[in-house]
Amino acid sequence: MVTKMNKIKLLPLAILTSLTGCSIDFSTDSDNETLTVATQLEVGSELCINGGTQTLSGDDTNDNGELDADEIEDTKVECNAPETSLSSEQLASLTNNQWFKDAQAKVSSSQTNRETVAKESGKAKNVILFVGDGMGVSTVTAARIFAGQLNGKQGEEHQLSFEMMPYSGFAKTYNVDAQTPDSAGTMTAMISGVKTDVGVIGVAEGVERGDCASVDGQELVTALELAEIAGKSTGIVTTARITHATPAATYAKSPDRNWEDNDDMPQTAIDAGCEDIAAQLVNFEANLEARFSGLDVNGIEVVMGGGRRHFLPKDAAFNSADAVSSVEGDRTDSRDLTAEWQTQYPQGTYVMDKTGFDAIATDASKVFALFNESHMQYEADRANDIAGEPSLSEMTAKAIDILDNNDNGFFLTVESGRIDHAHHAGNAYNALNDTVELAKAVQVAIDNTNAEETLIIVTADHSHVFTIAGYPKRGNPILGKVVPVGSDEPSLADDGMPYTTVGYTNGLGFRDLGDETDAEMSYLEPAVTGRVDLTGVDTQAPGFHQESLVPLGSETHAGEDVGVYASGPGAHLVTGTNEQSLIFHVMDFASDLVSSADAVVTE
Amino acid sequence: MKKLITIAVMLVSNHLYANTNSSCVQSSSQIKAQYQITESQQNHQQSRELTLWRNGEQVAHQSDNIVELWQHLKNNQIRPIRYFTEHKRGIEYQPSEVTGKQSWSAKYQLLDKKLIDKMKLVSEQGQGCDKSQLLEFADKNIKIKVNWLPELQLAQSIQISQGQYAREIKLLSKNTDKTLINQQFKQWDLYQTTDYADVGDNENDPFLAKMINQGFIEHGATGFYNQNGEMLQGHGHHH
Repeated sequence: MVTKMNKIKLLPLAILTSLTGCSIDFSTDSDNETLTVATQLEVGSELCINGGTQTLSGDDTNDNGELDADEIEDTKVECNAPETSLSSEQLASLTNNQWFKDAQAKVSSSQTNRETVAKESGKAKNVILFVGDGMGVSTVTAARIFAGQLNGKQGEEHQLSFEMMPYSGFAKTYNVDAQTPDSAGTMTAMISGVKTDVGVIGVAEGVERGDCASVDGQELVTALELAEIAGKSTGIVTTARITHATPAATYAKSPDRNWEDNDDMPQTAIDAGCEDIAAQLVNFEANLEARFSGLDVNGIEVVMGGGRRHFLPKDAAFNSADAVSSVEGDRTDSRDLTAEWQTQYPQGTYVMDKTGFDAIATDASKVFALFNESHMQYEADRANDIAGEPSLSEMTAKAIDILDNNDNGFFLTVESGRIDHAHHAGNAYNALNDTVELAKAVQVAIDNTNAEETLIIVTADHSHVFTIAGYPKRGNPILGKVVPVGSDEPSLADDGMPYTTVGYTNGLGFRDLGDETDAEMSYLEPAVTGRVDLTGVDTQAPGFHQESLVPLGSETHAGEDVGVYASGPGAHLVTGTNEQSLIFHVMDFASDLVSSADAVVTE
Repeated sequence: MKKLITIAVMLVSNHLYANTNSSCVQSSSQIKAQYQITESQQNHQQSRELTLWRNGEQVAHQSDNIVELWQHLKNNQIRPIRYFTEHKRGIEYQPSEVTGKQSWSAKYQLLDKKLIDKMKLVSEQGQGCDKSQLLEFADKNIKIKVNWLPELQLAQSIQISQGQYAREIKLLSKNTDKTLINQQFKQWDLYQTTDYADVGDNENDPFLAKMINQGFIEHGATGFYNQNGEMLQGHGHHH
């Protein structure tokens, strides 16, 4: 730079200009020559971002024909006017960069998606709603990295199947009476379009939790019921008990999420005419027909999940082959609801294990599958099931195979119910592993349906107090200890001990169960408060339970928004930050659920 | 020398199990055994009671307000349930699939079968179901002396000393009344139970809310031992 030179040689003007961008004029006065040096400033220079000219002048006081630094008396800078266009050379550092190219391509595909998505109502013949129970944003991020690392990548750049969907937004999850929600209120909002209280199923906020009489007039209609009325095939798939809050909200009306069988209910509620959730599932067809005059529906085609205990009498004679309790059933009214279902649908198929599942024909008219006494296994623990059970993706594939036989289309809800349970146990491994399985199930749905006629929405009911923290370097194992950029050794906290990237704000805290894949085993010990030295601990083992700040007997839900991802007709409506109840209305718009059902009822 | 030790162990094992009276084993599969546990360390001594209940493939350890019940499944998994008798409530857990960590025999008879197997037979007396054996085990850390009823698979007494710490578990009474035992297990079975996986979703339930907020974990039942003579439960955490 000219501004830093000490001496400027008096070279021929043409040569000087071509070599350095400088020019010199000189004139004489009575005592000394006055020298002027002009220098061209390059584009991007500190003085002029678009280039320009710097002119230095002063007297040649020592008569050496050069303008020395101590002879400069005046400095002028004239910057060029801003460029009116960018040359390819000027943009090369951007356009040759892969991040730049990828994002540019994404903008282009997003623009195409915007132009091609079916924006008219009623274009979605099929609707599939995936719910990751407790799958908050941090869980999705960590599961993405986990899945990528399982595939040999660094991880951060990976995308889960549903993250590649063209539309996404956020849902505000709070319940009408609770800042941090539960699954009952949130799923009711999603499936009925009405936000309600914590702990209640399929009823509006006017209900009093646990009060049977208060249900009257508060019953909501669900998307699954509307689809059923409209003549579509319907299905519910979950890895939790089929009577658990999230799946129950699709078919039941209950002032208490825990009324899963008659033994769970107060006698006063039974006497007042309230029906337990399991019975409502088996009586779904009759209950729906009783609600709307002249209606004739054919019932839910596919029901798959756990929770056999709520359908069987409390009698060891009714135990199934993989009962874990000495008496599997919990019902004290002597009813065997599986037998009642079979009587109602003699052509239907009831199964309770993997062998039975594998034998289900794709043209089956009805399937009722209860694979476990309580919740189904974590995906990582499936091999330990006594009688064997299918994965979420296998159930999703089978459900679609059966449901898509209907020319009117279908409505399917798929829940990954145990992400929530793993988080409650403070075990990130199973939460992430089950999230990866959910992503696999979504891919199965994408691969087995026509995108032009199928709306797929993937979301969570609520989040958990699960965090991704510290400054781990790129590609650091997501379940590992924090190893900083440029190092191979874990960072040490102020207490001199290493710490993990993922952790919990509350819960049971540290557990080191090694290869233990059953997240709940940690509950057998009290909460661990304070920090633990993890130096010799394999924090990536399935049985490792992350540290927590606040000691609680069970880690809790969190109140922040959850992501909503969508593809197919009407998916463009999933954008922005909205109340969770919007999801029902997107499904309704896309598939004309209300108007189609109304047309049937008013016939 | 190694061969001699192997033969000796086989002889002891054969002695312990080859002549097991099947009718005794049958009657011991339903049993209520009351124990007194006395722990002493230097000048401190404390006692408490523990009741061992067996009902076929179910075993329970009862102390004060806590009952730890285990169900032995067909695939050898063990499914634990913890009952809080004062509240008439229970928490059900998923079965553990990890063999080694969960020893059925340690729960069933307070002492892991592998520990019994490697103990030295010192003396034997009595006949039939009343036959008893004095067994001893010692290494550099621990000394264990057991008065064992092999036909009932039941300990009459267990004495453990480890440095200045000593523990004695003494059988106070045993009862094989099937009606009594069936009634007790049925009573526990009638308690309202919750999957532990569901505890976190039930903060509105006062009992479960207490469990969420305060832990509510109490190791009331104490004193059963693995193959190395190590106690498998802690010294009673109270939260």
